[in-house]
Amino acid sequence: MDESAALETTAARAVETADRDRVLWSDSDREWASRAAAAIVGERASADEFLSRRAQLVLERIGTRQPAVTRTVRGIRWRPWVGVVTVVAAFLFGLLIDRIGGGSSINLLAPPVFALVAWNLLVYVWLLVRPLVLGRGAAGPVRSLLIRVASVRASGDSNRADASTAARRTVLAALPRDWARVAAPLYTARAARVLHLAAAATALGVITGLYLRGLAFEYRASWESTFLGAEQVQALLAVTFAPGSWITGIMVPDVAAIEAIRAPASENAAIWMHLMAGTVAVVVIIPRVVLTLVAGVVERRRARKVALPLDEPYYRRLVAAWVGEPARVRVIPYSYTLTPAVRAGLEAVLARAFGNVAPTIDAPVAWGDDVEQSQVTDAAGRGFADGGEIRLPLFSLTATPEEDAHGVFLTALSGGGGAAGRGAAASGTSVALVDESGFLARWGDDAKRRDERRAAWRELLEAHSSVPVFVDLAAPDLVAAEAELAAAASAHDAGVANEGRGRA
Amino acid sequence: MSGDAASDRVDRGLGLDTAASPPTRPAIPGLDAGAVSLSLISHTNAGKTTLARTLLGRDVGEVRDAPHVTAEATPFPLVQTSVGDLLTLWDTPGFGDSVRLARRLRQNRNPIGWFTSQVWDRYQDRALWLSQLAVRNVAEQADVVLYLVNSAEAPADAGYLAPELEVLEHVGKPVLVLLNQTGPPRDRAAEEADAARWRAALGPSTNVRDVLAFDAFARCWVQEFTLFAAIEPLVPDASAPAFARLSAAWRELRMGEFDASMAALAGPIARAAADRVALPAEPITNRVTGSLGLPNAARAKARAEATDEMAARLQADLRAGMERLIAIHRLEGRAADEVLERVADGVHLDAPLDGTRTAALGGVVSGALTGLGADLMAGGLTFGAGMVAGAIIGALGGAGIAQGVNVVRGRTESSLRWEEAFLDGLVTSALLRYLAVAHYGRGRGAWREGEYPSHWRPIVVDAVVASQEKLAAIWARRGDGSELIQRSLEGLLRELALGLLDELYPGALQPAAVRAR
Repeated sequence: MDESAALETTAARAVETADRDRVLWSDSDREWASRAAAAIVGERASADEFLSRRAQLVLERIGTRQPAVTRTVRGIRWRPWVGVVTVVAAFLFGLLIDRIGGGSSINLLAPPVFALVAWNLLVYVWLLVRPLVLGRGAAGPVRSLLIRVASVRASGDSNRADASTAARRTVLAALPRDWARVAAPLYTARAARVLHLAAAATALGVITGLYLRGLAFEYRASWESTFLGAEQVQALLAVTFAPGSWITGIMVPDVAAIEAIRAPASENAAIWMHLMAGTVAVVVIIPRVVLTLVAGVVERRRARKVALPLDEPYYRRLVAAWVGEPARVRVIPYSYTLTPAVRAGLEAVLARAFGNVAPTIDAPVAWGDDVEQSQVTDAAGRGFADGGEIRLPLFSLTATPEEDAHGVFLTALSGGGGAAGRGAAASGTSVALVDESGFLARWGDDAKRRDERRAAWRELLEAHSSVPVFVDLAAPDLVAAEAELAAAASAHDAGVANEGRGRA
Repeated sequence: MSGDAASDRVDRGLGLDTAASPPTRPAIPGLDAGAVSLSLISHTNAGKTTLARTLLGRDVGEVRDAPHVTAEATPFPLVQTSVGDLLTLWDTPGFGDSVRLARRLRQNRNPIGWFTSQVWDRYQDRALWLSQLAVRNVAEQADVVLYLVNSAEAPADAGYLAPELEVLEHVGKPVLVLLNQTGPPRDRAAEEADAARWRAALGPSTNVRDVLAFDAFARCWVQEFTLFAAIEPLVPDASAPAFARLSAAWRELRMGEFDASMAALAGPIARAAADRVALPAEPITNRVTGSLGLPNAARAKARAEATDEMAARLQADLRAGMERLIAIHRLEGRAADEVLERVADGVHLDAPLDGTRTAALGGVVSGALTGLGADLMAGGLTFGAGMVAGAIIGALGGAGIAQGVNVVRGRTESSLRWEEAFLDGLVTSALLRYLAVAHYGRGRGAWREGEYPSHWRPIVVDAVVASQEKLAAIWARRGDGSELIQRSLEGLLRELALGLLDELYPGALQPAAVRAR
């Protein structure tokens, strides 16, 4: 997916996930976008095509209602002029550096060129060691600053705090964040390209400045020192101007010549200026241009193929619905027979949290022993084998969490804790639902008691690396339940990711 | 106070269970003194220890919302008769992994021998080991098994039920199922539906003899009579006479508490009824303008001060009465400040009223709210006095004349006393408080005032309204002093409270012999 499509897709995602209350973008809008996009791209299209077309439709439609969203999307795009301005400014800066020194004599031991060369050498060293220090792909402070400048967005928010304003704010806040995450590698390469070119431009500016002033005035070359003699100065200059000498074919003058221009004596600086220009070209301009080209190639490749996190429930849900195969969510109640009201509540929660799911609500797994557990494991194992299924164990808060029963069940569900178990955990099965309806019916006003029981469940579930989501299924708060499920899933994902990093 | 004799009986009962010693043949030689043992058993964390605490009225064992909290079977003497009969309650560890326990039992037909040989489990498999302990206790000690179930769960979801019943079947002792964790008291229909659900689920089990709703948190003492009546036919024939005596002793203990409670409730109300504060004498001119109904700042101030004085007295008295009530019921904790809220809260409900009274009581309510605000602003330092004072001041303001308090004009001086509608309100709130305390299981922790179940208030109000005439007759004699009022008020409160308990738990209060069982 190219950059523009990826941005639009991310924007559509921000709209659809951040607007939890369906204030700006209703369920029917969502369905319409999916239907229309499917009709346009046809059956043969790839998931990327479908998603990007759908995103366009989403943005077109919401753009007419909420111009702020379109503005933000536009504002968040890369602004090429930022790159141009940076490079031009760098060149002008280079031109001026020389003038800041003032005068019409070149101190051979302290020309601005030396600083430029030293700085660039330092940068090359940094580029070599940076992957070891920062890790791959991370942007350094300069790049981050540039990225921030380039994607600065106009804030057009009013102060009214009605529901749609609040929803819009959430969307507008979510979008740059999401996009920054998705586009980070691309923007890093892009910033690198601009900054390399800017460095080359600065060097060019310095040399141009020297020569331009050399046309109108006569530069005199000289040196003076408290500590150094002519030999040391000659050696120093020979090393420093070696690249310039190599490219221009001009030899660095010998010790006698150096001794001859010791201050207050001096000579015409033309030869020294050529040496400096050559050195800067070899050390700064040429490598920087090469680096620019490399970064440009990387940038172009990344811009053509932005990697969206298509494993996220949001994308999985959309693609699955488009393929005609709804996201599969399987609820496995443990020793808990669902009343019709609870079942309806559960379906509402799932529909809200997972979109157009086809939830399977299993027959309750009986409170039981190893024999029955192994049957569960088999069934669960089969369901898990073809992947893509979200499995949610469901417990009732009225039950006391017991390691011998519920714990064994959780272990069985995650595949016995072996390699398969880790796989199951990684696929996000480790969010567990705990229904509070029965408990609330008995102890509605006893918050202390409920908290105790919740804590007991949390403890057991966490011991099995699961995250509980407590929900009153008889009267579910859909918004809260959706948010909690999402939070639990991401908390869990983060946990898995950290664990993976730790292992790596 | 007439409640003292009753409370002495209570204290004697309390003295009994200060030490947990295994039941032995009673030392006191009786004609045919016997010992009866009840074993509390259930799946883990169903509330056995909580129930034991509630029945014993003291904090035995450890209570925590977690599995396998109790790790050994412990006997607690529950009641003793003068001839030496002893009723013992065993608190046991819960059933843990009962499925495996049942399966092992199926393989081994000699549970007792097998249990003692399973030392390994003690370290390897705690849940199974604790289950074995529980079963062993039942097999060796119990005459009757009290099997608790978590009635918040559907019987079908209690997957441990079948294996546990199977284990109990092996043991072969008669089982009485108690529905625990039912939550705050509910109306009878809901309780009955629960019981029916479990009865149906337990139907096939032969040794389950009965199902009773008996919540460790919110049981009422009259339900204990039902429990004893249900246990009676299950005890072995040899112990039947002893159990009958124990049952009677228990009844006597609880009825003693009841009488003491009524005295504790009646005292403050009777003293409030007799209370009066003399108003300062007024110059003749004021008395003339006063009789013309003209406002007078000095008089209003004098009245407000007098009212405050009476309110403070009533406040302290009610508080002491409430604490006595809590102590009688062997609960911990102290009368909470919000007790007094109930006073003002109860007033507006007490009767169909004529116009003036309605206006006055509307004032009571709004004034009470003002008073509450003052209480809160004072950081609760006034202990709710502001509430009562506010109620009264509100009544004064609401009706424009002294309706919360009456002015009694004597020949030489006027005095102030509580208005009768207000006293009626005190009776209503006293009865509501009594029900709350009587339903508060010790296992629930320190006494804490909570919301009353919604179905209580109307029946209490109805009962008080129905006794309006009797109340009026009592208030009519308030000039004769608080002793007299207290005696008649105690009688009336007893009558009212017994009526309420009978309405909530029909038949529970009737003597076992009378019961059609």
